[in-house]
Amino acid sequence: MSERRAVAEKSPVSGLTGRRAWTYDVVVVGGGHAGCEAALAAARMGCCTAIVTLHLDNIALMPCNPAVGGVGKGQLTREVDALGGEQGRNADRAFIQLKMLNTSKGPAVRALRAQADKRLYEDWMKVVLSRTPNLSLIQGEAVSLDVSRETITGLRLADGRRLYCRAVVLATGTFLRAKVVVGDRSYPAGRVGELPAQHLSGSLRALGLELDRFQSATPPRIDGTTIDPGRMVLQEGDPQPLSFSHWQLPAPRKQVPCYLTHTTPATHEVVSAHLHLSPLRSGSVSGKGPRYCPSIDRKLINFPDREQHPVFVEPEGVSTREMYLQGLTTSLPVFVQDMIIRATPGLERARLVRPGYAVEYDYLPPQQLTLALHSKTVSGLFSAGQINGTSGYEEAAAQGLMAGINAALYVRDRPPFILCRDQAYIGVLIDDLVTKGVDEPYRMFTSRAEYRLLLRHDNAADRLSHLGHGLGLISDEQMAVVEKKQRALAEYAEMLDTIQVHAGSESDRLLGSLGTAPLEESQSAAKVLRRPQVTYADLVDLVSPADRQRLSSAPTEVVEQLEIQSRYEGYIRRQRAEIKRHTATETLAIPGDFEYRSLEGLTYEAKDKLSRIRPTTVGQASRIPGVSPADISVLLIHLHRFLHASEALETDAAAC
Amino acid sequence: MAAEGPGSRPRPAVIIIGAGVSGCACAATLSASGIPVVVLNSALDAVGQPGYGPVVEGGVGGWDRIIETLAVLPPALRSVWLDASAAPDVEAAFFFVDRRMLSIESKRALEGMPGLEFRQGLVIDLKVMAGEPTRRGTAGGGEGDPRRVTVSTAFGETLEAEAVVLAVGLGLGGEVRLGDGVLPGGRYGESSAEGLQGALESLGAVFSRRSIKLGSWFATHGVDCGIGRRAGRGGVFGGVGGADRYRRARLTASGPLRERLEGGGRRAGASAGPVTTSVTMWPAHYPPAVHWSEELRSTDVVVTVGLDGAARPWLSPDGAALGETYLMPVSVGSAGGEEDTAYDADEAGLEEEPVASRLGHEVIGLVVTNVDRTGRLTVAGCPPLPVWIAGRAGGAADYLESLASGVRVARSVSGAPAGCDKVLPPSAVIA
Repeated sequence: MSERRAVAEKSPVSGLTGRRAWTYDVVVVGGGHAGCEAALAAARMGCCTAIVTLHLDNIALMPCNPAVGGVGKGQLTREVDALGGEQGRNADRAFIQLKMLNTSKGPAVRALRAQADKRLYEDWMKVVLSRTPNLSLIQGEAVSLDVSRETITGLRLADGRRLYCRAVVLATGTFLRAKVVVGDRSYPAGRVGELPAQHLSGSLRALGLELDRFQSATPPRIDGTTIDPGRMVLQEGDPQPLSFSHWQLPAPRKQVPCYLTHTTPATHEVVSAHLHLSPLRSGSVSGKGPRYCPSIDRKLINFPDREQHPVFVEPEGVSTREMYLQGLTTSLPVFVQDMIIRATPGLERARLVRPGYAVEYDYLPPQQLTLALHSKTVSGLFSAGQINGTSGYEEAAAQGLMAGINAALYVRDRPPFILCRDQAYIGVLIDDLVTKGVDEPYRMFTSRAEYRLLLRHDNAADRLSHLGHGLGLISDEQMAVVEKKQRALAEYAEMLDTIQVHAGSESDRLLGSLGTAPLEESQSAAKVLRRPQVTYADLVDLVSPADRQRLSSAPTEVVEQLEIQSRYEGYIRRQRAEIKRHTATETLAIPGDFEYRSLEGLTYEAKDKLSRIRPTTVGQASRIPGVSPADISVLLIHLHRFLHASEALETDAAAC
Repeated sequence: MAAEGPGSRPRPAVIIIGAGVSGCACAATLSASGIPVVVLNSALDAVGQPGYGPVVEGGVGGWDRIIETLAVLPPALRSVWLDASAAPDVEAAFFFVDRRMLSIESKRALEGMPGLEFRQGLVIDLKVMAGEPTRRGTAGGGEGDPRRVTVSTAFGETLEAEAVVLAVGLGLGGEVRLGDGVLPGGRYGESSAEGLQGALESLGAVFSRRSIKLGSWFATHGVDCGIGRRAGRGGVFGGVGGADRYRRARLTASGPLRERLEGGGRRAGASAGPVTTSVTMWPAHYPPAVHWSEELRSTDVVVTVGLDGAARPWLSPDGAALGETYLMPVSVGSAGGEEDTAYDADEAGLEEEPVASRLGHEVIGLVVTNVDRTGRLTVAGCPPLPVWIAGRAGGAADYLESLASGVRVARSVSGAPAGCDKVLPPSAVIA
């Protein structure tokens, strides 16, 4: 065996051969939600890719809530789907309940949420991975990175194998030097029952990367046959569920109900009486936990006056009786968990199956990354997911997809792929991470986006699919579907402009019954649809029979967008104008080697932050905590002077 | 019943530590005899997962042994084993299981059994309490219910029962060797049962070391071409055994297994009578399940054929969802790892030399040797303890022995004489 070249022909470093070395373009460390997307994206873009994971039986595991989506997060999943990622499609395959949230509120905060069968979710993802060309799955523990001249050259496994590669995507989740904690007890584990990754952190530190500790936790699971549904509020899925995927309809199935209950003062009494046993108090957890997905102990500390907190009781799948207690996250001792559960209405006789617990792990503070999720100091090193200080499967998938894409582009020596804050929640997520850093696990909310009326669940494909197509992640057929819908949208929008709703007794009567004023004169259908009381279906009744036929043939997703666009036209126009106004400074590029230390008028803090983060645009600079609007004015003056002096630099960098 | 207090719960009759092949068989059998049982496992997502590859061999006992073992399983668990199995269309006493399917469906079946509860927890200690004399004298001693076993978890929980069954595979003092690399644990990637060994030692358990050699796994799409080329050439397999031949065999669903079971074994002398089998179903109104797809049954396997004409497994698919093919180890001597895997792959003609998805490895752990025929821990000079050992930890050498030992232990634990109010005869714990 003189040569071992599993994939050498396809690889740009095929010169490297030898026994026990395999050559890849991209190696992804971790097989969770970030790792799967990263590997699929890189492989689908034609890179020779490998996933290295500690346990191949635990691919795409959902160790916390077996659910995908929700407000803010659902938008991320839709964007991942619009760019050719897998999370949305996989949720469609494995869901047991699907629900559009916030249907009574504005379109910006509407989002899909799927409760999934966690085992089926894993299985389907494993099938997708194992059928993807260019992708190898390798079970093993990554122990160190091979780096030469600040550039990735490979990765070593604990079993002695060596993988040569040009890019590594770290998607290690909670596994780096992890320990699981309940009360005052803890032991090393990445998740309960699984060994942690003990060695990789040391290799990262040796490369000069900074690591810190975070903590996350999960609630107890109970036996679903021991709950009392009669004491809880039934939560059913949508009768005719939509899908996360833009391209395929989910297979039909019967949906499984969830239940809603609340904690009571009795529950709170139990928690308060045992707070001293909480690892948060006793100090057995040192890392910071998520503020926005707090444990029940944390909720009582933060909101002592609140008499109740919601608890959603959700099935973990159709193949198991276990149920998840969303809202009762805790790492209090197990006997206290038992008492908390039994003090909660509907759960008086519930039997604990898996105790809740906390997990503490190393993460890489994300200011060490560029907007491409690329390390600023080690070329070819990317990271995604919880290792970047986030929480949530959707945040993980979004970063995984972007890190995979950018690793593939890096290997090809092509410029990075960056989404802006006005293009996608993904852009907001990554800009927040690398610009502001994190002081607790980051979670997405619609309020984090400045232009959330534009970054909607329903228009993800319109915003992003052409970009996915350009990257080779969206096929021509898929693109044709999007374009067909866009053509239909334009067609019907034009139709609405030309079709008239005539003033008269009939339309007056109809409009009156909808609670809106009669028409003084005939109006275009588009104008009538702007009235908040009038739906598209109402409009169809208001027009002449001939027009009725034309309008009623519109597909559902076109109708949805027509309604939103008409009703929120004013707001949308204003947000677009705002983006335009900001674009000039927002996208003004700052040269990579711009020297801040010598600038007069900048505060010391701003100089320090700007030198460390090295923003690529003035927009990014303005969002760095500690950099004030006054600092930005000073920066602009210097920057214009600098750019005039060296116009040659002008064309560079403009990422957004 | 014990009072509720910090760290303790009302006790079940029996605690089973470990939910692998023998643990599940034991739990299902106990439940079938009406005995409450709590099954503790460090990771509930791994319940029912066979830890040592997808091949189930009849060995010298041949088909009769397979039939007899499956025949004594409680029907619900037997259905799961049959549903998850596929046999090759050659004359050979072995079959393959879809490990993932066995895991998901075993848990589904066991969760539905009366009096059977799962609990996630890593067991770190075990005590036989209250006046139970052990070789080193009296553990506990003094007040309380004499029929008491307590089990403690790493999260500080204590559970009590009248008897405990250890079904921890090779997790006692277990380690996994991948060439030079050593990981803790009774199977790859799992936390090991560290405190249990000491606890058993203080009860008077005697150990011997046992190891299992596991083959390697490759992505199924990666080995297809390799198998095709090698098997297509036909001829003599020049590796281990010299004169063996290899051939391609087609997998068929568990139909033949069912037929044999329903016919009460093939040979006239087989002791198992006719057994009714049934097919469980994945309900049509559920989301589509990979593990119920027909893929496992429509795949080829490669077997070796010895001079005696008997086939042995060589390359076999590991289930529909796993997308991996299991390669039986042929290399000898070393402890798995890169070197062995490369040798095995070469022997199997995987000429593209794909990277192994899982390397061949060796699992080494302790086996309790002082157990009686029923699997009960027996310490010389001591009355019987309420402690049973099932499966590999009790000396079982393969899956069939593990299954049989799970059932045997359950029968021994539940062998209550008539008139006993509790599930256990007082003699079983107090002597």
